[in-house]
Amino acid sequence: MRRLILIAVPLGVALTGCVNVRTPEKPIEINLNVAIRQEVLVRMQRDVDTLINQNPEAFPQRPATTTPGTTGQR
Amino acid sequence: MIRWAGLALVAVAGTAAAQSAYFDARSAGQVGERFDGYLGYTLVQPSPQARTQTEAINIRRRALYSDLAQRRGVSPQEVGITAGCTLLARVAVGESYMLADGQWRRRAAGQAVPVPDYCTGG
Repeated sequence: MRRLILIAVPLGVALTGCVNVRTPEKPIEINLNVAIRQEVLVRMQRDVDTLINQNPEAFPQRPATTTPGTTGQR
Repeated sequence: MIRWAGLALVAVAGTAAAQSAYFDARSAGQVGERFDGYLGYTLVQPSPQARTQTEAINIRRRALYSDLAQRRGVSPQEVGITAGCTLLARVAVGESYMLADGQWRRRAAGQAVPVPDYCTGG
């Protein structure tokens, strides 16, 4: 009986783990031990751009004194 | 009311002045954007003033990334890397930047913005 519980408990944990975890998207491995999920990158881009635009003290841009043209090109 | 407006003006002017050493160090290529969404120092160390201002910016960024990460159920590192994509796109000619290989480079005249492949893939 005791042995049965010992087996059943990890099995239960494993099963709930299977149910809760949705198929994980393989992260993009970039160097320096950093990884990012492509899904997150796409989903977060708009939020992050809003964050950057609304917090100029954390993302300061020097007031344009010369002609622009050095940003935004890809 | 007038005093409030005056205080607001001082605050705005103060922010610009409080970041001027940072701007100078950035133009000199001593401070640059990193792929992880934070500012870093290249081999040539900036002035103590510029370092103080840069660190203040990084502290603000960390708080913003953590907050957004918590609201969206992702990691602060992922938010930082996503922000890095936008911030690298802002790197001007002559400024330094660090990609995920850990190397500092300087954007040369005529060179496109240093946005990594994983950014444009989205």
